[in-house]
Amino acid sequence: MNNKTEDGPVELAQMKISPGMGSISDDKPAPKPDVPAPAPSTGSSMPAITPGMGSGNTPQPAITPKIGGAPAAPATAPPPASVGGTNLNITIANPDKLPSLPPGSHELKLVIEQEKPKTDADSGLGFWEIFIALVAALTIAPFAQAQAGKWFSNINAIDFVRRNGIVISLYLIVFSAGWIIFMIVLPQLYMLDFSFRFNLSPSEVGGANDVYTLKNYRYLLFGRPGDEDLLNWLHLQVFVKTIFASVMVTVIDFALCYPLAYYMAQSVKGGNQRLLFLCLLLPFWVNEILRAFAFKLIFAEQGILNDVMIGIGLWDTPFDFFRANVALYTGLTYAYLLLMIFPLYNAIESLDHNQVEAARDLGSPWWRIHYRVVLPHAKPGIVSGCTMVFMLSAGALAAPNILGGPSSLWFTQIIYQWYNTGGNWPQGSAYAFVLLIACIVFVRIMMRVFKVSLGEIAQR
Amino acid sequence: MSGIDLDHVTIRFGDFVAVDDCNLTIEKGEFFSFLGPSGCGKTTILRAVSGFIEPSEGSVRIDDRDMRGIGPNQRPTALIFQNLALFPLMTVADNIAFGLEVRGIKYQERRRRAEELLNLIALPGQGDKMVSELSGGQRQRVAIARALAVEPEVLLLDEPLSALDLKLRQHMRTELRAIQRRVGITFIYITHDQGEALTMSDRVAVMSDGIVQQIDAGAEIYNNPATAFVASFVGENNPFHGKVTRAEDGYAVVSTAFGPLRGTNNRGLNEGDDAILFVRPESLHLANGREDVENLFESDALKAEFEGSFAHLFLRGETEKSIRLAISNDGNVPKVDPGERVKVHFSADRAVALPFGDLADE
Repeated sequence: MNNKTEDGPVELAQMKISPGMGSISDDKPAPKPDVPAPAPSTGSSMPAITPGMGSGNTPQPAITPKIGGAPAAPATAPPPASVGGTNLNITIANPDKLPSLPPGSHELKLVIEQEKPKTDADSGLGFWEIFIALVAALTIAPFAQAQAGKWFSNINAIDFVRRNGIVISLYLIVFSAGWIIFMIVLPQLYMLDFSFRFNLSPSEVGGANDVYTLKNYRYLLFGRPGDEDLLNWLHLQVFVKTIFASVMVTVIDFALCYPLAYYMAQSVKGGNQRLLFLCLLLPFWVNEILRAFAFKLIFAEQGILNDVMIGIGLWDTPFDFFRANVALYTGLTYAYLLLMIFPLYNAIESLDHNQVEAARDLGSPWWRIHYRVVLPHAKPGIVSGCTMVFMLSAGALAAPNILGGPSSLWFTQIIYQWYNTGGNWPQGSAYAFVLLIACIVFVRIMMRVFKVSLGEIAQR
Repeated sequence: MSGIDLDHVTIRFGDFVAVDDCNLTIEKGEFFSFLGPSGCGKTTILRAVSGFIEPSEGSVRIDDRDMRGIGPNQRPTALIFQNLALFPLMTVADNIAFGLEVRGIKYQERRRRAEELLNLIALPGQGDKMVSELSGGQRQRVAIARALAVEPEVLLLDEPLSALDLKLRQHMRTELRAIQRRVGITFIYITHDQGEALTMSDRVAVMSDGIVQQIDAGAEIYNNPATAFVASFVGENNPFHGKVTRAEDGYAVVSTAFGPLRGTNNRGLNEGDDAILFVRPESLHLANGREDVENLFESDALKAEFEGSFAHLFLRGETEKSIRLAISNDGNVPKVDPGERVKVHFSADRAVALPFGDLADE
């Protein structure tokens, strides 16, 4: 290790020592026999690719799923003897970044991460823990029993409990609290926290580098520092386009569903109404992916729609429904149709039909009846339906993935790539959070514009 | 200047005949009521006049104009719904002025008209309230004002008082009648409450099973019913079933379970016809030992009820239904014990012999 260096230390790789790994993969001849050879591993040798990355990005070496941002601590590779029973597995992300080293001795710098070996104490409960817990429980039990009557009467003094009974109230409290905390608050808080962190390797979590940062949010706005453009146009455009397209999907859904919901709620009764409901519901037994692919078949260049249209001579070259986003809009509109219809139906159904007749009797034309009587009455249902369709469209992934055109990208797809192929969860969290906040803000603005309160929506 | 003509109007829903060959003329400015039990077709007639239903046969004419094909929004009628159907999301003034808004009248003018109508219904200055802030009777009047705002030739009222409590209902009867006199337009009033029909109306049409049974002034309907249904539906009445044994000089003798009883015969009953003789409770009197009176019969007393101005006495009837006497309280109501055998009589002029027919369900 005391060999002379020519070009200074070369940061080679991060090294992971994990017990029980296979032998060193060694495809290339080692620069020096002492040091385990850096071996390109096919699995992780690609830099994280995100379609949205700015053009000015220089590929960074990505070693292990995390992009290392930690200062490289000078370390010498342990001599083979010290490796002992532990196998070393070294992977190098960008082998081409390695300087071609002339034969001779070099000083190599390795960053070494050592995974904590698991001890037995971590792995589940041992005999003594259980024994102590049992003894403790048995000691407390008599006291608990003595106090139970008092507790019981105390609990019963609470109005809520008295009204619902102990079992039901316990269920209600535990279930609703559990729902709110574990299903809603905690995951979002966790994601929020995540979005303000660096993408660290596991060993660095909790270390000196584990600090909060705004870089993930900055990235959405400005891209990587040193990019040619000031703003991260690509992602911002996709973001705005996603919001706009979701609004369009919502508007189309509303336009389609309102007449139908009105008809079902006010005009048709009995058997025909049930038939209509069945016709609406049954298609949704087919799962979303299947439906999306069915649309793909219909809208394909050689699909039914083009065949028919060319057949009857409406146009003569196949129309590219995907490029024109027709397929995407159709798929999304269809996917969330029911979420629009049912709130609308519920709202309109509760309108006293006499009010419609009264308006008509007073001389009102049909459009004014809707504008002055039906729409104001159905407003909470409309907002509720529109909110759901808008939120879910903006957050849709399957339909844009399958039916989206070659040039169109949905914001969720970028988020998905950050999480999945990009391996950058903090970045993905930041993007997801921006989408969530934007959607909520948008919906709240719309509610303000249309003068609807949250409570009114909850009535439906 | 004629009012509304229903010319052989028949309305069918599938096989069900809701209104069967209805012929009547309602004069301009008349307060006309349709009276009948629920399901008798009176609301159907109203909806045919307002235009929500087209008659299956026959025609509805308003001011000699055939209304076929003219929608409810183009007829000179205004309908007041049973549940009023005020618009809950609009203010009182907006409700009243809705018909004017539809007609494109400017806001200021609408406001002025609404205020006028609010004065008419004795709710001045309440235009900015929401409908939910009003009491039942006030809403009632707002509904009337909303209908009057469009200056209809005919106001149609579909049991508008049925949701109110008794006191308010009685008050609103007088109020409605007063409003009708003030505005002077035709009111067509639908009700199953004979009290409402008799007190308010110029004329009443009694309906049953889609058929108009009788059209007459209230007193005439009460005193001289045309059919067994009308006799039993309007007011209390004691039916005595039997065959006509003699018919002469406008009187008919019916052989009943209580012997031959005589009553007026205005419907041309002949000897041998099945008939029902109707005697009102207030026309039946205790004989008090007199034997020289006509239509004298006796029965067992079942129970007696004292009601204040009247005392009711129930006697065993020909069926399970008891005979009912209303004895006017002149300070000297005779005491009758249950089980006692009592003799009663009535004047033949106060009894009506009618052809056998269905009675109204109690």
